[in-house]
Amino acid sequence: MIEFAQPAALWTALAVGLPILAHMAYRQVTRKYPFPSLRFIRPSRIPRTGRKKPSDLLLLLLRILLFLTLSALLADPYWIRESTPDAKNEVGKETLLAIDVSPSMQGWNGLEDARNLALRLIDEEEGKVGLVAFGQNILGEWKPGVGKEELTQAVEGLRHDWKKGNAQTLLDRATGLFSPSATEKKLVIISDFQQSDWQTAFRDLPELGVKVDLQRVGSDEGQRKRSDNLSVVEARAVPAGPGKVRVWTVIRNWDDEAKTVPLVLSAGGEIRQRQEVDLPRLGSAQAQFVLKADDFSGASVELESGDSFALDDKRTLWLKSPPARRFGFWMPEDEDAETREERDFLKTAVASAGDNGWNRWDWAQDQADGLRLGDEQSSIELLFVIGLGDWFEEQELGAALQGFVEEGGTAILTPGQPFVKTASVIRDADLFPFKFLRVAGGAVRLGNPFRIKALEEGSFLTEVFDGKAARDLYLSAIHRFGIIQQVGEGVDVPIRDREGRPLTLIRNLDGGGRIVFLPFRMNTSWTDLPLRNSFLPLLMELSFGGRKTMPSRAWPVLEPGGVWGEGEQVFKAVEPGVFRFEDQWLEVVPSLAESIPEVLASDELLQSVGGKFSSSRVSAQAEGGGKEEQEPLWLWFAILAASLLIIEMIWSCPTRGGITKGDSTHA
Amino acid sequence: MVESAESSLLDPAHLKGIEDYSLLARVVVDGAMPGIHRSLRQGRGNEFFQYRPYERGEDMKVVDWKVFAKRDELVSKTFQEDTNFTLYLVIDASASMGYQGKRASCSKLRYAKMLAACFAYLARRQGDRFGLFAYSDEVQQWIRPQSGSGHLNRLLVSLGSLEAKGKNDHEQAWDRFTNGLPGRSMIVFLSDFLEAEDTLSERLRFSLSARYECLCLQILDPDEVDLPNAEAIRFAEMEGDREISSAPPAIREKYQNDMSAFIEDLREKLASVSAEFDSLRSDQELGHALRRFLGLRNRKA
Repeated sequence: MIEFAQPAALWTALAVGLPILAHMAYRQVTRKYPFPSLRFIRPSRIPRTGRKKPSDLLLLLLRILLFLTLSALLADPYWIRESTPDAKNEVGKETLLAIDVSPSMQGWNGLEDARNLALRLIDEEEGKVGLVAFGQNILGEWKPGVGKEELTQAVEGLRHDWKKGNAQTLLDRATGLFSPSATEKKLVIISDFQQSDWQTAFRDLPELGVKVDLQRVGSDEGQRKRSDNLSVVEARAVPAGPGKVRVWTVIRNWDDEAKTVPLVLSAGGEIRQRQEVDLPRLGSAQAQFVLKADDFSGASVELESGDSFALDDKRTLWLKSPPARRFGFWMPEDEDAETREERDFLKTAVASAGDNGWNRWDWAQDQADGLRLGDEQSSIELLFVIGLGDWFEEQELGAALQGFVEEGGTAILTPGQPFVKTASVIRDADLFPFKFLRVAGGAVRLGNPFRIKALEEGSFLTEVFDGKAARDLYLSAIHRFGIIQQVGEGVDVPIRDREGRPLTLIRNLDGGGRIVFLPFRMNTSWTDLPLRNSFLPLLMELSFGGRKTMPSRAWPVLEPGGVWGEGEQVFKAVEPGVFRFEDQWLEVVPSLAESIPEVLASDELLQSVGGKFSSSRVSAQAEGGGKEEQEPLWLWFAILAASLLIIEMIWSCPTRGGITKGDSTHA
Repeated sequence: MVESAESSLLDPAHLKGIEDYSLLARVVVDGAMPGIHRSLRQGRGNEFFQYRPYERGEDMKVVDWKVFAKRDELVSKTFQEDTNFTLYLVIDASASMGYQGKRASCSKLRYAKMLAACFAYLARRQGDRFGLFAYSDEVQQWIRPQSGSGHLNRLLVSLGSLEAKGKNDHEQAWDRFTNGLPGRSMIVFLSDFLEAEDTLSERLRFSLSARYECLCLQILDPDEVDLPNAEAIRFAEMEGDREISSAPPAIREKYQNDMSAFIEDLREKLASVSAEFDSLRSDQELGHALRRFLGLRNRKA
């Protein structure tokens, strides 16, 4: 029996009206006919006589047949053959039901539909039946051949996973679950084919001898729309002034209708605040709650109105602030007034750095001292080595400093007295390759200080100091500095004086660390920079500018399946919530990718895994009718259409000459 | 209707296979229409006709003495008497004369040539002088009138070589022709006379004279009378570049009326200059034209 894969294309058969109309409206083509005189010939309208000859009717039939053949060709015909059950084949037939249990299956009734369909297939499928549950990984395997009861229990016990789905794991594993003796291998994939899970999956299973049957569940049906989903996509706690903390959330509406939904903040087991959020269609809206700090350590934000996918309606977070960044100083023990002044300038500047979030700096001299004494666990991130001189060499701090910057730390070095000793220590410790000439300036230069040269085009400093913002920097006075020459390779010189002499050397290390050497001290006897507005930004830019963006200071946020930490003791995220791991506080949030309601189109899926696609309803009918074999017929129809076309072209080719042969001859 | 053997010999369909115009003329005149022409006038002509027994009282000059010497019998030589009558055959050999429709067995020119051959043969038999003038846009053949069988053969050969070509130029041709016209002549025009009704009557004014007799035979193809049988045709002018697409069924009635009016107009204008006119169809038997010709010839004689 002939059936069509694209029956809608049969509407094109209406085009048979075209040749019929053409034959009815045919107006005879006039041929050139020599005639003695046109004196009494008057032009007249050639009547639409239609084609009346028997041969014309045959031509019309031929053309109608050609159009019908083309129409059938477009509808992709195939021959359905009922094959008699082969006892031997049924014995060797194996069917593997693969059920997607990724988080998106929990929404849109997907998992429930999948269970029902799987239970029905277990009863109906012939041969051996197996089961595999998959999400990000293979979560359960029952090879073909296990008992029906066991399979039924396994299907009824299936629960959704929290980890983002990855269909590739199924495609890689599925072939290994069939026994080598199977004569027919069939893989029935029951899934919602959510876009993020399936868009990168690929394996040509039919080439490996596995027939694939794709069964979609959780799709749009009746009132249940895929787009009916709201998600809490972000929830973050930030300081909101003294003693307060602000919970900032972002809600996403996936639907194409605007909505107003209630959002509640719960803490300490009770709902603390509630507010209505207006959500635009296919867009996001923000909401904020302000709480007293230190009342609660954690909170949750939740949408009260239900939707088709509930897993992403709630988010929990820590209200507790993460630790601040730390800085400290290395300086000579017998610190003089000049060193103290420099330290105070630097300490005041860095302590005032930070932003409205948890990014702030704390002076942690104990950590700096610990590092000085060889403590590798020191949490210091910025180290000032001021008044670099003999003491550095005597205490053998070179290795500790190298280790610190190689681990990603930033060190800023300023010279001590005499400058030549500083240069000697730096060279000996292999910190910078350069040659020291002399110290320029001094008391005689007080009325005519050195000025900073305009920043070079493309320098990382120009992102901050550009246009009027650079005026304060260029007005700063440097009374004296060490003249450095022959700077080696691998050293950046972002600032120079107006004669082009280096005023800052920077060396970036592979581990992300940085060493900055200023050939002048940060106190008023050397420069007025610490008194200027540009001091703090210059200091922070020299320390961290030009590098990758500093990670925002917040507790680590993981998705289920994520791992935090290194070594043997690591934290593995399993499901959403807030967790403590040693001294680290972590947040685990639902996978945002699973909230996307879009599913992969059928044709894309067929390209990815081959096989045929059927909805669960259609499949139930087809599978219940017994085994059928399909044989494509498009090639035969194409040959028939081509043959008819050639015959038509030959037949309808206009004859040469006049009206008809014998109508006239000329002497 | 049962066709007689004589009439079938006049049918162009039967004559189309005869390429030799001398044979064709003898078949038509002697075979199909015996006795139609006047008997030869025997007398003092230049051309020997036959021997007959000497009759007492005759002039001894007519006795062939060589025969008497051989056979000891008096026989008289008779000669064909020449008339002083001239027949001029004027044939239009323009391209339009080459038309042959589906219903005709020969082209209009072939029909004209068959008639001309018969006319010349009859003239020869009656001792007339005869000549030929064939033209299209130029003079194709111009044979001055003479008598005798040798001249007849020459004229018939010339007829055979005529081809339908070029665009007719009646005025120029007739002007040249009439300038050298001999006295006491009968001029037979064989043409379709398309586009010539005004020019022809003007140029044939000489026929008002008693010395001349004009016979204008218009030869038309049946298609020209009532258009070809086809539903749609793109007509292309044989002597021009014009083309007209038309449906013959739609214009046939008007065309027939116009053509009839044209023929009547032509007939009236020729009558006004005392010229005889007849319209023939190329599928028509030759007898009618021959009788018309002989009637006029004998009346003149």
